[in-house]
Amino acid sequence: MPTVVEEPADATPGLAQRFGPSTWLRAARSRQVLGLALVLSLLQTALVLGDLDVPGRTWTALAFAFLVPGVPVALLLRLPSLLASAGIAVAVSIATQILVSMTMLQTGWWHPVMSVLAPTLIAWVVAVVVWRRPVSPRDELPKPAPVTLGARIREAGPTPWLLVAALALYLQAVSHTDQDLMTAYALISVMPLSYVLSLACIGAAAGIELSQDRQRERWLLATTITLVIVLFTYQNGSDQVAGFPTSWLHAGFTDYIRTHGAILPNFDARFSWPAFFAATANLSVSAGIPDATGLLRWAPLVYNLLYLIPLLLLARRIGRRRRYAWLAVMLFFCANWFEQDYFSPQATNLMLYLVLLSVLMWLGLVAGTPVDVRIRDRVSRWWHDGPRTSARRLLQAMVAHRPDRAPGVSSWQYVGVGAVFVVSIAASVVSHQLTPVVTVLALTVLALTGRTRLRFLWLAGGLLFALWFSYGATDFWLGHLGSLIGDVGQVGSSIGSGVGKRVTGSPEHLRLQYLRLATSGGFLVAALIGLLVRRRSPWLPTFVALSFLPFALIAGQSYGGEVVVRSFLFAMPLFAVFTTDAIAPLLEKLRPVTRASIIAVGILVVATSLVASRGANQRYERVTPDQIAAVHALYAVAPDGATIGEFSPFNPLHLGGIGSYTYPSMSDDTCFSVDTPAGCIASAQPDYVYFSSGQTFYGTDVAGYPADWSSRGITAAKALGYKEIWTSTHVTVLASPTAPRGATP
Amino acid sequence: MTTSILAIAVPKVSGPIATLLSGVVGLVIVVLALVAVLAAGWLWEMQPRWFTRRVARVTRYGVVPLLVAAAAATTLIRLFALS
Repeated sequence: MPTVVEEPADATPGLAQRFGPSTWLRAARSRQVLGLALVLSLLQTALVLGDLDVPGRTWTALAFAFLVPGVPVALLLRLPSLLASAGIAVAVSIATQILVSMTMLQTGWWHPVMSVLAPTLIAWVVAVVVWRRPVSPRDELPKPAPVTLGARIREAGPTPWLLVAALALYLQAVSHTDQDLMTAYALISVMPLSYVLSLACIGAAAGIELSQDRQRERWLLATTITLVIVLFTYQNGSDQVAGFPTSWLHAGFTDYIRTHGAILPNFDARFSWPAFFAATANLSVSAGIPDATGLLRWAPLVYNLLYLIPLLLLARRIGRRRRYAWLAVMLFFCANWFEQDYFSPQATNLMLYLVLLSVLMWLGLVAGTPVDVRIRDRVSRWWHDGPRTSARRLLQAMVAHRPDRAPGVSSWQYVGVGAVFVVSIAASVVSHQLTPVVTVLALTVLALTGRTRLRFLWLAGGLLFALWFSYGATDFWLGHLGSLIGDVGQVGSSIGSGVGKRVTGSPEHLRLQYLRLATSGGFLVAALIGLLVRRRSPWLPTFVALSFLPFALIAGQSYGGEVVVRSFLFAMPLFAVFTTDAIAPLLEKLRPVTRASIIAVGILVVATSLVASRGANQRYERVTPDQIAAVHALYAVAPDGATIGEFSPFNPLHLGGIGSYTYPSMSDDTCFSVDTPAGCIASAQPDYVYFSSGQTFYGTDVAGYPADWSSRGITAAKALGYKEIWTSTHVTVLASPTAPRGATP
Repeated sequence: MTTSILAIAVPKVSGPIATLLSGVVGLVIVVLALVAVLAAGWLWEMQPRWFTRRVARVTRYGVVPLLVAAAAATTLIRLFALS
């Protein structure tokens, strides 16, 4: 039976080419990597046990969390792909941290030091096995020919200079961005020209590198990393503290677990999936920082850099032309307006999902599968046999099929990969509500279409999910399952709240929301064209199902309106690949100079539009140092049980005080109106009221309130007897006449 | 449009069997099903000598589907009994 795996157009036959250029983890260098991981594990253990206050401890703690015990495990598996090994290393490390922390939380045996000791112990046990394995002569790396520095610089061409210029321009832009001057067009209204020039330099570097006859991986990697830095550090980097109030709320959850070693029952649905908060509570101890707020600011950068690993593996394997894999990765980042990469369980879980999907697709695609012939046969006989017969036979052929092993991957390695993914799914199941559902759906698709040998994974994932949902997350559904299930199937309602209710507000804000819709819609249409281009691929049914299965969440969920955004986020990695497939044939027809120019301009346009779409809510999602100081001052005087009125959740009030205070809404329709902005204050009479610029701008940009609604509210509250206990540029805190007060600005 | 296209209603389940299955017994059944699935996955890949065609058939069409169905049923009973 001939093997008909779709080869990348520019690939040459041979095992090394099929697996990609990166076989170096098989080489002797793997011992050096292992040694570094072990040194890191000992260093972090010493830092934690000795409680040593040394600079850079946060970064060593992060490196530990992402590499230990994953690196020894990945080296033990010895998969013939650097990207697959790297992805597995990170996924195993994250999953271990999550499961160790979750075990401590569930057993009530809360000792954060164990979150360092347990992974270290696992790493050393695995390392012994890896170290004892002999290194064969074929694993030795050939010594590279010596190259002088001058020759290296000449060979590199303009790319490094463009990237250095991009970073310099970016730093200049960051220092010249004043977010206090934002208009209703939000972040893009204060974006300086130097930022656009920075993106232009990156676009030019990408255009040059992607138009080379022989691609230079290191410079493409450098270009993509620069793009990620410039795109995902701008919002927080050009401000003094991290934005996005939900991330401050998550830091509050983390600190509650760190302080109490337990969750707060019946407080918030997220405490039914508390593993992320438990793991980050331990991470903050490991990093030697007083609370998790120190982890917020650079979280988008860290997450997007991690995503780079599985995205590249996915794009290289799924994409029709290997040379455009980097373009697909860059397009994903340029389309990532969703703002789900803040300090959150979903951002962490997306990494686990992407690693699982990319490694399974890699294993499936490099293995030649006879089922491809039958699928092609069925697709070609579609009109002859009729759609029903063809579909039935196609499904039968796919379901009955079990793909061959990938070359160079043994049964033990398959079992090892399966074990890794069971651990990864278990970590996902206890840390996030939505991701395990998408994971199980993706695994089901791969099993049904005969694309994975690990066909038990979807069933194991489903059982793990059922186990946690029914026995672990009881707070979430106990007593009100009916109302939760009532959401299932409400497609119109979900789309209405996910799209319709978000496309509202001032004309400027509306334009930015339309830009978001246009970005996602554009990628959707381009991906459909890409799938049309790939219509002869035997993988087409799998590609289509994997691309669109995240949208099943819209029908079967109780997650609220945000599920539409999440569905697009899960679909976007594949959309980016198929978008590249759609445009690659056009690019191939162009001369290299024209191709480079078009890629450069294209990246500049979509990256600039990302600043507008991603930063569309920045005016009200921004958090400032004085707002945080006001919260701390408020909590210093407010006794337990006090009520603190807020007008919307766009404030950092929840960074602490979890479970100690209640936060009644002061913008309830029954008592609030634009004419009586203090109506709810008069009726509910909270002990304190927190007015912040975020809430004010949410009112003007989204809710349609007049510009002075907040100041009129403060005046009206004062008329009710409320006194200012804090006032600064971005926040005013009022106290009722009966509330204890004493804080000073 | 706010009407559910599925319109699922949650039935109330009660009685001694429901009480039994919605507790530790149910938990054990789900864990057993999980162990069976993982073991089957391992066996299928490793194909040890004793994993004959007959054993494979019993695993594939007997033990695993039975335990998984039991796990699904006990999970639903627990959800409905405690909802």
